Amino acid sequence: MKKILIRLTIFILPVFVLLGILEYIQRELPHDYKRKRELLEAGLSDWKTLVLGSSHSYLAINPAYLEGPAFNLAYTAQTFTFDLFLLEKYLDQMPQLERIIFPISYPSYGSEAYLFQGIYNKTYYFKHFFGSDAFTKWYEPENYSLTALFTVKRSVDRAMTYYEGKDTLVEFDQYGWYFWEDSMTEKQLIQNGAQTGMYHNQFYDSALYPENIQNLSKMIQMCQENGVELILVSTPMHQSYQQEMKEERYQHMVKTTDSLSRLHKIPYWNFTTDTSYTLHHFMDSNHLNKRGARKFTEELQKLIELREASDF
Amino acid sequence: MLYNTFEFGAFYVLVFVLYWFVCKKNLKGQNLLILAASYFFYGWWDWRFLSLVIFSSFTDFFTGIQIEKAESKERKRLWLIISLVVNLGLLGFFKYYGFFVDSFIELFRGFGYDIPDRTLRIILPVGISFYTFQTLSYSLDIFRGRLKASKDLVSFLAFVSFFPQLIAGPIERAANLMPQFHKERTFEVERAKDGLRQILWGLFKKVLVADTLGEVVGWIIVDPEGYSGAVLLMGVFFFAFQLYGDFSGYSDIAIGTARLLGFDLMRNFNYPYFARDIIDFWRRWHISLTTWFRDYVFMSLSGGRMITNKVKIIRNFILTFTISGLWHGANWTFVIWGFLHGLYHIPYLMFPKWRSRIQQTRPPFTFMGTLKAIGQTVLTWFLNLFALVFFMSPSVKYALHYLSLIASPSLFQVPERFLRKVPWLVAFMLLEYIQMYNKKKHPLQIGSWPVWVRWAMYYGFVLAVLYFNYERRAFIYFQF
Repeated sequence: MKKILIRLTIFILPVFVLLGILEYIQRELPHDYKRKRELLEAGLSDWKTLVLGSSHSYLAINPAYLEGPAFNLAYTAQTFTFDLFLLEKYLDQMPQLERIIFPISYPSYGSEAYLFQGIYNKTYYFKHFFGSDAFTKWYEPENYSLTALFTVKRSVDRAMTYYEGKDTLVEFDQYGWYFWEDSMTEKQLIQNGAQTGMYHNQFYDSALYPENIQNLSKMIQMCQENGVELILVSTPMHQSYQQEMKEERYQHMVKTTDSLSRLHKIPYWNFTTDTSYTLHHFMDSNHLNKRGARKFTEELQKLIELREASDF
Repeated sequence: MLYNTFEFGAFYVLVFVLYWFVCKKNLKGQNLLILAASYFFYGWWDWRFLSLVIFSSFTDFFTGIQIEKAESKERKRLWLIISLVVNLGLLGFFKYYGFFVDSFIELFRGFGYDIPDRTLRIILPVGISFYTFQTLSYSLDIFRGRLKASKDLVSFLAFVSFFPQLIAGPIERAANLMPQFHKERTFEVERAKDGLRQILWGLFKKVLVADTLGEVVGWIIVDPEGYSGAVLLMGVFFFAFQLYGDFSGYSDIAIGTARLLGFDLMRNFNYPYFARDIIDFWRRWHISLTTWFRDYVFMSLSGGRMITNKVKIIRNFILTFTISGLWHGANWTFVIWGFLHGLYHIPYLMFPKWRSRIQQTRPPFTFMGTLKAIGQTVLTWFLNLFALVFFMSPSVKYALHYLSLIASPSLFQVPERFLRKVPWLVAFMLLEYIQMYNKKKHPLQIGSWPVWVRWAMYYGFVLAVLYFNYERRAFIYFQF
């Protein structure tokens, strides 16, 4: 038995060496979360405004149009659970922080904490890049290895793409904002609205309301304790998406957010059905493109200024 | 815990080390370790259903002893019925409850009676079809006097839950596997090497053949209207390879992992896609299930003896295959698939001489012989593909629609997509053919090849498995 085990070890050793090299490369390569953390932490002492939330705010809010140093920490499928984690980790470290812009979307209150886990692997990203132990199980190999997380094929593909200069592997700008230049045709938008609406309705679960409302309330409270204003916003949605929204769920979103806003005396600005946003402002049925983001962020800035003026 | 995951690798290495180094020369310890590992393995899927495995095992352990102890035939039969009711009851409830209730509702709706939809949705415990059949064969064999009841509880529980084959077979016979739990097992280098090679071959088939084709088949199934008849036909062809790669891959890994622990499991696949008629196909495909149905269903339908009445033989064949179809899944598509395979047997049962002539043409050394063999293999493929359309479809309506889309003028055009997969499949089949011709049990039995060729092949296969292991699809047969 000894002989075969030695042979097997000799055989498998080069494979492990290759995997080790691949793991090292993965750790060296840029990654969205890694870069987000680097940019965020580099400006911790300066940030006046922070944007949290999912892809809706990730695309819709361009910090360059907000007054003062601002950073967009939102990301695709970033649910309340992850926002709360980020806030708990960084809120105390941002002495200049005045406000947090927080998006509330149609599916927000009915979303699972680990939404799209299979696709986005968010829990492991938070483990690797934000050092969170809260969301994963200790025995999962994805906790310890980026190659295991991405899989060998995708790890190799990532390395090749980067070293061949085809992609930077980071999709956002220096303020954490992800932009998209183009817009869809009317027909594409209608199709996309139907598909996305159906998809969002599919995973929506009203049993998750208490958990999500509790997380949001906790964030509001944390902000108030730290003298930071939390601004709740709902980004514009194209009509093709609005048509797919179930009235009862939409009303729940609006009423819940309104009552939280009144209770904690924080603003809530709802742009969901704003008709001034046309086809040219959308990347798809529920995300703004570069043009739409400019319009939206500028309007937000105006509202912030108005609010500040009225306070004084 | 899928076989192609790190979790299983770590689990297996730990079991292997404890088995050969800690429990060495301690048969009871080894059996206990297998039992604990098997329960852990099953509990990893869903610990709630572990109680079903334990309940089923205890029932058969107890009824087995009672059947053997009973002095009268009636009493033996009573204990056997208890075993059958418990096992088939569990299977029926968890696997077929929904199917029968839904079919019942549909039937009544057809007559204009509106019955509300059922509200009870039952989760199918993984592997239930496999382990209940394994325990059933145990009780049936004791009843038929072919087997002595086990008095060793740990060995028996380990036999039922033996983790390499617990989830998707091969469905072992107690007569083959039980004695292996009672005798001392020694580590044999050549067996271990062969086991490792078979595991590698199984992983290769699962990851590179089944999972990569599964991706394509998934696209085609979701949107059949978006493809030409030629691509749709190719989709069924790919599904045939996906199914083979997936299930035979699983069986190879199961046999290999068991072999490393000193166990010999039965062969489950014998190069089925080179079968030259449908009877030959079923002697090569899912052998453990086919022989199970032959011994316990077909023979029971025949009253336990050889019958000569052709009508009865045909009836029994069709019934056996239809039930075997239902075993695969609680859906009419599987029933039709099984029924079709039963029908395919009729010509060979009607004209047995025809079949014996087919057998005589092997091996096809002559030009005409080769041509004939190819023709027969193609015909077998065609029949198989036709039935597989039902197997792969979510409903009978969908299957008929899919067939109608294939039977269009676009069937005769060059497939617009996925053609690049074909040369790889040809290479795969070529390797299988060469090793079948060399009478190897699996294509990686290459111990006699030059060492550098072997190592190059091993590295090639290992790296390919690592590289392409990104889909991590569950094994298809886990749902059965």
